[in-house]
Amino acid sequence: MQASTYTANQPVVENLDHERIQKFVYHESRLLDERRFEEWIELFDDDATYWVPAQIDQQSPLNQLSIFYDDKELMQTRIARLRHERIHVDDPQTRSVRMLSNLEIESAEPGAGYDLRARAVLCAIVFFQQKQYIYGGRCEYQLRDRNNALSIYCKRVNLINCDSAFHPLVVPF
Amino acid sequence: MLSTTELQGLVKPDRVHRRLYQDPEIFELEMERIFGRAWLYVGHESQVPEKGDFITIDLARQPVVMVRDRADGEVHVLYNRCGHRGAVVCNQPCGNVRLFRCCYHGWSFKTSGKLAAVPLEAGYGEDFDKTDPQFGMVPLPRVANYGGFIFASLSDSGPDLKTYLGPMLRTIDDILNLAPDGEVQVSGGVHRYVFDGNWKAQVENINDLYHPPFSHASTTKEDGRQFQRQGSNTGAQLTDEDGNPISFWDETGIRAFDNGHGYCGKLPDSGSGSGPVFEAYLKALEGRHGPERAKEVLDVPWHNAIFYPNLCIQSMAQHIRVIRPISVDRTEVNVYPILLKGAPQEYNQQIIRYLNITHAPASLIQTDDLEAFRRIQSGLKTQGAEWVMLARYFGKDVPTDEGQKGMGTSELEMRNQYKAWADYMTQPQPRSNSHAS
Ligand code: FES
Ligand SMILES: [Fe+2]
Repeated sequence: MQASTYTANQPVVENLDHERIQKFVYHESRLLDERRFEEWIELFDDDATYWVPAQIDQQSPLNQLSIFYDDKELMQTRIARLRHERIHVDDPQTRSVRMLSNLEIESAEPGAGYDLRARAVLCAIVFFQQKQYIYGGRCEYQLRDRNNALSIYCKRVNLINCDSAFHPLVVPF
Repeated sequence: MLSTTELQGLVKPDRVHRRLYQDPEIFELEMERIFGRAWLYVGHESQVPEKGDFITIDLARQPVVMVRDRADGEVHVLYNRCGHRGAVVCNQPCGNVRLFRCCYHGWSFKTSGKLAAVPLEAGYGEDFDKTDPQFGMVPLPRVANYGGFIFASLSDSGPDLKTYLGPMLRTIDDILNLAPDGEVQVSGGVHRYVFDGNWKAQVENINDLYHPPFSHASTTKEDGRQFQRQGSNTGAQLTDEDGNPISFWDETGIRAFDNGHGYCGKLPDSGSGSGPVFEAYLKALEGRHGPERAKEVLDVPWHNAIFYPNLCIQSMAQHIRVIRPISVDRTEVNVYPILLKGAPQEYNQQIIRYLNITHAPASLIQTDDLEAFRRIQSGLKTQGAEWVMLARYFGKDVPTDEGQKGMGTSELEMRNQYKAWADYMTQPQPRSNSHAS
């Protein structure tokens, strides 16, 4: 996946169905809050990627380390582990709540491989091993809108502290 | 202050006292007597490839900068402290400079650390000696380079690096041999994680072959095989189908050397590979070594190598792990992929991909160990038992020319670390910490 091409001077397309897309990303984020991981990865296409870079403005997930860089198969392995009865780091279970706001939507340029881009500010509050953590960043979605259904081709989460040291991160952002 | 006798009493051949993990005074002494004397890993010279390139890191809780000299291209390790009134000079994780300049009163320093210019210098009078090293950014007392791996010591005396590392030098040679161009590159970013636990828990863990089937149970499938880690390998077999550890964990063996160093034997499937990317890599490697030797080189006889106290190198998915103690109950660890010069780009990309799975803060593997370290820190607060047992296969270790060898799941490696720990900690005279006085 390429770095986002979203720039401030690209006009936000007005005639996209804002509410429909908002509903979709709210739903996506609630599935994570509620640990409905199987339903969550169902929102991703088979060729999708989920990426949380480890550097600000990271250009490549291939040549530099990332906090998460999952294809669908790795997402499935990750979820299977989250369901394993002996995943010690998630015992007791991590709780989290996400707030998405400042949603902006634009249509993708023809031939992009997806149909529209959405970005939103993320504030995630995570309760992990008796301590509460706050993570902030921006979610960038590349979405497909096919056969009247939205799906995720790519989700990238740019954490503002992506290059800092982290306690274990169990649940995806 | 703890006496030598008291300190010695906290370490027995097969156990250590829980105070080693809990007592802030012991932690302070470790920083002075272990981290203040040992050769510490700083970074790899490929992190500062051009003249004027620098990285800043924390070494034994002190900010330091590793920089390539603008004038002669030498790599220096300097305390990141202004010679005027002490501000940290270089506030970025990395970059390139002509001169370092302090934010406060504008003193500037050459990339050798020497004081370059002082604004309004006349205010200092005649006897102000700008060449006095203390007014510069002071270099660490000793710096040495082996195969591009830069080590420094905060002490101006002690054995030289090669003597200090002894048999461990071979492990660096082995890694360099894996590169078709004979050089490695540390340029693939870094994983940074922290845990609420003592630094020694991480060091102990590195060659703990007793833990994987249990700590990493969540990564194995019903057949006991771990998920596939890398494109060219099948998943490692951790247990049999009943979930019991397979005998390989003992058979692979473990080695312990002077100064707390050691390594464990290779893992199953190491050195093997298949697929077009591996084939292309093999071909490049054969170009350097010839087919016979390439095969030997690939069959690295160890998996994790510990350079006590702050470095681990892993061979299977080549990486460097640096342990940075923060306080008695908090530790940061940094993981850097070792990229092989001359290998196909896709091969190096596999190393990066794999390290995301194994060692990212969101990894599927390391996170379960981090939770164990956190629980050790809590558990050792209890007063019911005083000792932490390290007795597995105690008395069964076999002496070798170079040190000792033991069964894979032996706790020999930890016993060896605490032998070194006691040696350092019971030498009360701190060696001079500064040569610029
Ligand atoms: S403290 Fe650096 S110039 Fe004054
Ligand atoms: Fe482990």
